[in-house]
Amino acid sequence: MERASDTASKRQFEGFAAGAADALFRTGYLMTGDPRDAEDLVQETFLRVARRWDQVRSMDHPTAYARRILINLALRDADRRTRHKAELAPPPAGIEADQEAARALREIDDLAEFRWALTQLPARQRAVLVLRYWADLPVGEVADILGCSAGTVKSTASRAAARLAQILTRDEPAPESAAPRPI
Amino acid sequence: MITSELENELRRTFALADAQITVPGHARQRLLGRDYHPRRRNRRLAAGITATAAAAALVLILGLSGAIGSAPAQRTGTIRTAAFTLVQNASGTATLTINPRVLFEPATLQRDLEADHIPAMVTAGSFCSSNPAPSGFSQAVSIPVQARQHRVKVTINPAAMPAGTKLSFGHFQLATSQQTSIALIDAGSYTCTSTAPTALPSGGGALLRYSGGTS
Repeated sequence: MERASDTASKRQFEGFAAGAADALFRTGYLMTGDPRDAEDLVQETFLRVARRWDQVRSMDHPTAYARRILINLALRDADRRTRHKAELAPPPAGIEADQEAARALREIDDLAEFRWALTQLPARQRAVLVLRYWADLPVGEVADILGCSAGTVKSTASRAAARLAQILTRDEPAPESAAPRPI
Repeated sequence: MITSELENELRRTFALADAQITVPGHARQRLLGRDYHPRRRNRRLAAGITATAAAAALVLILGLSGAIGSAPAQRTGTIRTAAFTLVQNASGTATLTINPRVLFEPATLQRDLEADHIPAMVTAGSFCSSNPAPSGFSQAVSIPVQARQHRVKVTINPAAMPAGTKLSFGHFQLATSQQTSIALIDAGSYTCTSTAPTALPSGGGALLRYSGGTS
């Protein structure tokens, strides 16, 4: 028989899950490009959070903790995914390259193409862009989530943005089979 | 170092992309509908198997054109856990996907298979078989040869399962891989072993291996 304290704990978790589900799903979708994979990631994240709920519920930001779990699950799975990856030369670097990249982003007229280009990045580059520029997290927090230095986050962000622009401006069209699955 | 112009464009583009993302209602319902068992004490979801990452999952497409035995009220809709998804289709068939990337949930899977009129015995860390094995495995179960990929499809026709039989699944966590053995068993006469089979069950069966490490 469930004790009153277990019932209260369960209700509290359900409230947390209801509040966090959308943001976690979005994170998962941006990381994988597939709504089914996103749902898998969120489900596994909730399972892991539930296992440690007694500690997680005392945290200042349980959703941030859940997001950290989800990102690392996505990184763990990324190398097992057989996606078509763009074969490209190392992207250019520097201020002019950044200007070109900014222009490439401004000229996007189909955001599905942007989401596809994201899936073509190495998983850690994708994670840095999603955490820095979608979740809008400070460099230090991104570094903490990914287990690297702030300098690595910055350099990875720079390489990722350049790679993203390179993918968006290449002449060949995106392969249909690799397109993010629509929601 | 990335310029602020580029950073601003990234934020703007992500915001636009985000506006197009909506969480599907059915996905949200599934995610929030299951009991994740948040307890005040740590709780293992399955004995003997830790969370794993593997290269393949098991998908079972089940034909329910002939119900076996009596037919209680049929469940409709989808059951989804991290370990498997069981979808009851409008046509009467059911699609089962097992995801060995996460904890195997034998009790839950067995319960849900039986709720869909599929007599089953699902175990982790052991495998149950009958000697002699009932005939009819190749009529009831087919596994096409496939290149290794995320999912391996197994087709099962429960209408072809002889009366009095069950489908036995035995899941094992090996040193560097996982293994699922499948066989038909006599529901009234079988033995179980905690040793992972190294060969197909006598009378026919299936032995599926997924590579991957533990996490």
